[in-house]
Amino acid sequence: MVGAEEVQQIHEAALRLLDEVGFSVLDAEAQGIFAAHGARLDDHRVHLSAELVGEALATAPAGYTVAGRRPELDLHVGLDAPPVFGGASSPAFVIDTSGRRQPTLDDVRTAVALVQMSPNIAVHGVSLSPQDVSVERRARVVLHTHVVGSDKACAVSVTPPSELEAALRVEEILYGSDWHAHPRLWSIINTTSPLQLSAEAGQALVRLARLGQPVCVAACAMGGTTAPATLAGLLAVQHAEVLAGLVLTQLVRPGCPFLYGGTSSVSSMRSGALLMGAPEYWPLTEATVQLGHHVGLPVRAGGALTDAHAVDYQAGAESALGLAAALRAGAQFILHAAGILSSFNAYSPAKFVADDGLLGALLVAQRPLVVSDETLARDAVAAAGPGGTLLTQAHTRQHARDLEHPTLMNHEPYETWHALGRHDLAVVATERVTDILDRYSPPDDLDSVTRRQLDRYCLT
Amino acid sequence: MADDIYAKMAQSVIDGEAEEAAALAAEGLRQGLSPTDILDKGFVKGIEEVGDLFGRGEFFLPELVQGAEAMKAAVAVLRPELDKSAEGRKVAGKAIAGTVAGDIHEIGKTIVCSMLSAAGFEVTDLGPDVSVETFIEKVKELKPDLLLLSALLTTTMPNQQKTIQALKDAGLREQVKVMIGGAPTTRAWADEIGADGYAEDAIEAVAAAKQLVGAE
Repeated sequence: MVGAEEVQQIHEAALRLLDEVGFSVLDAEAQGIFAAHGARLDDHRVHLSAELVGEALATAPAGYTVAGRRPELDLHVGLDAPPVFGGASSPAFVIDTSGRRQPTLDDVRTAVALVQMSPNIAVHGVSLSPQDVSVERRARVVLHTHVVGSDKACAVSVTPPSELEAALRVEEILYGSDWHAHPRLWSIINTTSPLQLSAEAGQALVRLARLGQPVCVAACAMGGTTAPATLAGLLAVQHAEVLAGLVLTQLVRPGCPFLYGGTSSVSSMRSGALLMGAPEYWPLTEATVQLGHHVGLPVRAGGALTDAHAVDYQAGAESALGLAAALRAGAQFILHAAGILSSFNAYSPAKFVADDGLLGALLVAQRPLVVSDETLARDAVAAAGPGGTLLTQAHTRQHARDLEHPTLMNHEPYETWHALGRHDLAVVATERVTDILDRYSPPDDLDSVTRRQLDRYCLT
Repeated sequence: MADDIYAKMAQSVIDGEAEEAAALAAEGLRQGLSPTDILDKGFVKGIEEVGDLFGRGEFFLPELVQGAEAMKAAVAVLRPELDKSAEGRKVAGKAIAGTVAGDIHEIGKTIVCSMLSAAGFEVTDLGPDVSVETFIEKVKELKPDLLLLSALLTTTMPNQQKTIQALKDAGLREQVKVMIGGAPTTRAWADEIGADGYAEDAIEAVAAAKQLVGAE
């Protein structure tokens, strides 16, 4: 974790960048909004004063509730709420036992079912893009697959604008014309580092903010290519970008829910590729959370991220460290909490269930170590006595189940493991996928009128 | 004497000093050296060394990119004289590169451009978010051997296909080899849209480019 003084220094460096270097906003309407509120406009670059940033921070809420399909599915995003986990988001490929390929609608159905069945993942990531569905129908068919296949929240694609339109229309079908009376939508607006917001991202941000929907502006700056190779400079660029997004959001609608996002990492200095398994990524994740919290905002950061292309030792180690960093620092939303391979590029169902298990274990590890008469168990120790066994104590019997957790990890002794086929975790996870899909059934909570409207809009 | 300045020219590229390279190019011309000698005996030696060092893992990307920038700065100074020279300049090939319409990601494309420059290609980088029309216009104007189309988003990949189709419609497809790249693209996609070449990273891109223009 970064020291408080260093956090403040990075924050100040970001404010200087916004004021002196500026932030490039490629959407004309967004530029106009900045300019109308006193930002200096220099071509498409807006220069933001510390005052403008301060005013935005003053109106942004420290937390909010995103309405779910039913009240018990509401999700709280806030500094005092437990973290919310999202599945793999918008990977371009699927990797499974047959290798790497482009996603199909069947893969989307699998991904939806696995999230629906997950004990930990509450939000679907932005969907895979099924290549066996025509481009014209794709966004609608994907939304349909999600809404029919799961009652959990779904992060939606907001670029291009047609995909956002489709998502808004589906909300209207599900919840009526005043669906946006509450925060409902999950989405990610990515900056284009360094210090730039694309026209489509700017349009989506303004649209969401007008509707009072949560805006998550996230940077994925790449140290050495799109941001400095030094972590402090990289964080200052990321912080500046997210704060600029915050200012725009709050100018459009003061008080609009905002999530501070960042998954910045470093580039390979040999190929330029983004590395999500680099050792720099983990402290960057912690610092991202610290910087967001420093300005009083809930944070989206981290994930079960890896540069590995298979569910192997590398994937497990990198994913565990990426998740642990975000959990330790106290992130509010961890997208990509399960299922990612190839540095964001690929989705793996087996990796999803392996990560889900990992997440379960990390959540156990995160539990506070409670110190009380009951947990100190002095009487049980005294009763067992020096050299005795605790197995015979009632206290042990009462707490035995505290130590039992669902897991995919092997805890069998060697010969049992050998007799069971010597499977490594990738094989076990692949079998678990089949098992989960066998047990899965879609929710049946949509009334027939809604379902008909949905079918008509999405499938015709 | 001349050997001294040639060595300095090569060194300016190895050091990635663009201003120094431009100044040395101007100085060489003032001394009456031929522009092709300045290139071949000076700067090209430097960029070859940069390429070697990168290939051996001793140089990293910033050194490669800055070497290519220095080379570009020198060529810009020499350009008017090179154009006058009857010999012309030997290049591995002429390439145009850009990220397709709707996509403002360009770091990968920029790296490919640098590596191609280092490998002796004359590269025109059109930047990000390049419309189909601009690609067509530039192919007509510059008559490149290679056109490189980059896309980082699944939503912009179709614009690689549209650009290739537009080349066909304009009757230009046979004049230029097309390479595509970008994180969501694949060799299968390249085949599907009728691209001539595909590469998964910048190093592979140079090999593919050389093969396509018959430089190897």
